[in-house]
Amino acid sequence: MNGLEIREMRVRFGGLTAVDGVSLTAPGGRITGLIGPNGAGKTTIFNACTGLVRPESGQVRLDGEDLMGLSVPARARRGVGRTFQRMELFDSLTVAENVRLGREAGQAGGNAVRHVVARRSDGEQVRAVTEATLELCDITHIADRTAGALSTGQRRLVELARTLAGRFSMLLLDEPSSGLDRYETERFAEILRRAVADRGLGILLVEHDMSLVMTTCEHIYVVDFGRPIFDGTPIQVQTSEAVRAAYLGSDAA
Amino acid sequence: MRDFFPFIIAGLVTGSVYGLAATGLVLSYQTSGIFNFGHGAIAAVGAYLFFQLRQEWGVPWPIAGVVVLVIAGLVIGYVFERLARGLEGTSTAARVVATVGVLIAIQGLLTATYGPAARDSRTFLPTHVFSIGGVNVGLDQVIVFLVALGATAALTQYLRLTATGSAMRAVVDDSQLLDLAGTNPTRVRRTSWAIGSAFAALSGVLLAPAIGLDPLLLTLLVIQAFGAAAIGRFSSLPLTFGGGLVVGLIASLSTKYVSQYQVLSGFPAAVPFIVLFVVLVFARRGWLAELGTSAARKVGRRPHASRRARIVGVVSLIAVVAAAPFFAGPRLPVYSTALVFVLVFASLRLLVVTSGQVSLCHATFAAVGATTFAHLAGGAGLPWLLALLLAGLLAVPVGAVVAVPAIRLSGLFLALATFGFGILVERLVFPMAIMFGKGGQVTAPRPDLGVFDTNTPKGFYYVAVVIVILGLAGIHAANRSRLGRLLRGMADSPVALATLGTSVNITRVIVFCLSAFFAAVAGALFASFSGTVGGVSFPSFLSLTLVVVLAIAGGGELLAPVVAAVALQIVPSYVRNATFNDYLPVLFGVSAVAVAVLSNPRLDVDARLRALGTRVHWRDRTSRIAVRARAVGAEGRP
Repeated sequence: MNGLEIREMRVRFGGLTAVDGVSLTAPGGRITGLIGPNGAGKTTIFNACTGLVRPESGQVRLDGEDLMGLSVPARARRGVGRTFQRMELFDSLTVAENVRLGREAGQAGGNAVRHVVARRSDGEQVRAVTEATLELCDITHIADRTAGALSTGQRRLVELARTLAGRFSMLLLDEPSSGLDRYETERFAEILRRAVADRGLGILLVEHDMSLVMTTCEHIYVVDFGRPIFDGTPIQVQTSEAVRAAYLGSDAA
Repeated sequence: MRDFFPFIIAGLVTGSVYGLAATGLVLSYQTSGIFNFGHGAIAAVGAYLFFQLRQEWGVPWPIAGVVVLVIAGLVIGYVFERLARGLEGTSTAARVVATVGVLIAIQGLLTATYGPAARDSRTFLPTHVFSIGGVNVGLDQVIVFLVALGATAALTQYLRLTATGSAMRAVVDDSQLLDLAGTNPTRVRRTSWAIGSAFAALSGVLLAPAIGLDPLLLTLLVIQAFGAAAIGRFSSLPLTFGGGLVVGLIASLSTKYVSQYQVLSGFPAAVPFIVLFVVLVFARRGWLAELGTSAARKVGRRPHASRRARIVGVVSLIAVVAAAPFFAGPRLPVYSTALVFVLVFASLRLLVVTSGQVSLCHATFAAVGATTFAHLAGGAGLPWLLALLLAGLLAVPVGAVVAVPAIRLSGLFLALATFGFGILVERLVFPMAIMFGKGGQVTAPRPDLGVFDTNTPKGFYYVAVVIVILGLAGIHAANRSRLGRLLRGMADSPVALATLGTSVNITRVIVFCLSAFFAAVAGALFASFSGTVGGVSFPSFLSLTLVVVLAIAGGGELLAPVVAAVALQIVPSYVRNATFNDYLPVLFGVSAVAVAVLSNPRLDVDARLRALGTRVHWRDRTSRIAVRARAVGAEGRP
């Protein structure tokens, strides 16, 4: 099976069940949505997929390979990349260095020698990828600025560019458009569509901006209180009673 | 069996005092999130104040005791409470630097006032000896034990029975509760600092007659307390007191055993650090949660000097360094030492600033380099340069050993583990033949460069210039390379780096190894320069001073190590005023506290200071390792 597959994931913090039996499939070459009210457990699902949180039970597979026993960096090297809701940029580095590290971090990997000495072919590759990604995300003009000093919109693009520079086949994007204005969001969506179309990348998108979700995703999963409550096409989700009930009174953004 | 009783009793008595001190330490840590490296310094202040009142001014001891406790509780406690509030929201490294700064300032102040030699502290308790089941016990021992136990028990009761007490207990159990407890949080914190400081002072007063009035020994009492606190997981008060007893007992009983083995003579004194190190290294993940750190950070607006300005700066610096023999006169050896320290500081900066790891055992790396070099170049007769390189390389595994706790721990606990490691090596390994040996010193040759005479001050100075420039160039190259990016990335966000595919554990080990290499080369150079070098040149206390001075020296890659070395080595040689030099550590300590408080992101001092034409460079990123990982985990909780 191509893409990311989550089966019956259950995550518990103490007595609290944050994720309760979620299953979903995010195939390659497509953008899949994951929505739900605040605190529904979306970020926890991401943390469990990337290894930052250990689920109590369930399976996570990428292209058929079981990821559960692997460490955070090992999962990343298998091809799962992510961004963070609160953005985890390398603030004291420049934009170009951030994007470079997107590729170099994986090349260094778990190999002490590769931390220090790059493979001969690496240098060329890194340069080309960095340049192309900066171009794709339209941030070439700020390449030499320090990431910590940028606006939220620019920082979101830098974080996206950093994961796009890596050798990931599946990206988990955690509310990438929060803090962006209308225009920036549209530009963001365009970059995502291109990355998917050009490279066959799979994307699992957690998002509160419904117009972004409805226009980019082919299939959408809805969770509430850690439980899956619905999944279907954007049209089906928009017309679902269950989804409306879950959002009613909460933040139907 | 009977042979053991005296050791058990002595161990229980000193252990109870360790427990008392540790209880105070844990209490203030739990309520404020500030782990006070200066806790032992409060004990020292208490002991000296008691000495001053009783032995110098003739105040009866009960009155002197009460005055000491009141001053420690109210005045020192208040000062620490304010300091803790100023540090709220700063990074772990800033906190470590601030309280280590307090330690250095107080230690310096006491040394400047009373001299470095131990003063005789007369016992004030009745020393009548009586026999329990055939074992002689001093009445003073019984009293000390009962006072320590009583104070801790009283604290436990206070926590149980009073409103402020139960608020404190709630906080000790779960520090997040402070703001929910419905009690005035400032009063809770102030009370806990008052009690914590009074306990520290009391332990100093009780311990002084036994170990003598020695500013360093008393200041380092804090480490016995660290060991005890580690057993109490830095949170449980009764376990902490019990931990004090355990540390005291093991140390005391081991004196009986090791008296047969010369090699292990340092063991009893090293027990608390062994306990600390072992607990930290073998603690289960999540067992030790660091308190009070926040994800707040200062956005890195690194002031970039223009390329031209930097080149001009480097060139003029090299010119000054090259010309030093012509203006330094008889002080040239001081300049050589300063050069060595530039390399030491640069290697420390790689660790602390570039990669965001706190290390308090840097002098140990230098000592390893110095002794290895002496054995290889002096003893084994290897060529000078080869021995220098090998000295650096052989320190690499030592760096790797230190990095073991770094992999699992972070921030505060890493700082504690490195501190423990440094003292462990100093007490246990320094006297062994592989390091300084029984004589306490080793000899090392200077290089033989044919017609170029390296035995003159000027000749060796230029050797040092070349080696140090090569070292700096190496560090600079590392900084600019892929490794440098990985290190800076790790300092900014280890979580991000890991999710991009780097095994950050390996990154951490590498930076410790690299830093140890350069520090060891510097140590080797120092040995070669000194000819004869002893363990006293690399006291573990020096590691604390190094971190503090680097913190106040600014953030420049080249400038900070130079400024730090000048402040530590060259300035004191030019100031003829002995008083100034005596008080220099006080100045360092106080400045470090100020720098740490000013680094608080909640203060917008940056803008204000920029207006004054100064900049605060001390940025530190260590806390993020653990904290951010937790924040990421917490984010998803509904």
